[in-house]
Amino acid sequence: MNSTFFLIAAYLAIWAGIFGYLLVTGRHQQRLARRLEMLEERISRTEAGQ
Amino acid sequence: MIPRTRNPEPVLITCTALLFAAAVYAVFFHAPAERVMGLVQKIFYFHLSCALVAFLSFTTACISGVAYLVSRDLKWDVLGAAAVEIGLVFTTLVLATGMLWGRPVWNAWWTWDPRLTTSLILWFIFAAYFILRAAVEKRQQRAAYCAVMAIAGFVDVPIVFLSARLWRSIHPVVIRADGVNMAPPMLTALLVSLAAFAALWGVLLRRRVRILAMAEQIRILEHRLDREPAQARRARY
Repeated sequence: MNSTFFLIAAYLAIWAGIFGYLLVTGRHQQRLARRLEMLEERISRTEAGQ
Repeated sequence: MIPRTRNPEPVLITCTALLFAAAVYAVFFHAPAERVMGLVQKIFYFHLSCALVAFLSFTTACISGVAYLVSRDLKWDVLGAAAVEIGLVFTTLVLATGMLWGRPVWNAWWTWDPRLTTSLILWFIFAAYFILRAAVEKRQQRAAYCAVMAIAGFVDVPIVFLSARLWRSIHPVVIRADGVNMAPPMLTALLVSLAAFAALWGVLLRRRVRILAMAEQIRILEHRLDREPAQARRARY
């Protein structure tokens, strides 16, 4: 196999790793932010009702 | 509570992306092809940057571990866990790119060379860190065990760094006692790549710490919501 193939494969692996991790953590962060907002809303409703 | 200030993440990500664009330019257009290995040597710039950033992560985890054991403040545990996760991601990239570099140069995907073996051990140590994290329920106990594991695991970092110097190794040694062994345009490409990876490390660490802090905040709020109906009942009677 040509050594250029390994060069391309290595850089693809790095980009896939970086973008994959950024994507996973970004989605996780969004999910948690939504959940946090929902819980804070529920708490403020509960406190307003008491 | 997580402060609701203006999120600087888009700015940080843009700066990191610009640094990466400069790094790609420096690696492919500024640095010359190596005389013996040819184009495939260009893997080196990102391979070494990933390795140094992984070392930075494990060093941060070790310092956080010591700080936790001294202060018993859980914010150090959060920082340590975030750093270990990022370090593990970069160590995985180091191993993957190392194999893709080794195949055309050494004609082998893997060899039990001291540098490669100690790097693989490093990966296993910090993968075990997450098994330990998932296995212990109590927060303070988990933080203490993980702090000790991060400190013990860090011992392998200088061993990985020195392995190619201490033992007979086929792995190239670039950073020597008398300086860096490469041509100036190659050194420029390496330094720009290092800057890009260091910036990425900062972005990822900030994001991961924020995620862990949010998860903790959610746990506290859920606990509060679970308790509230019981408290309201008690107040009525």
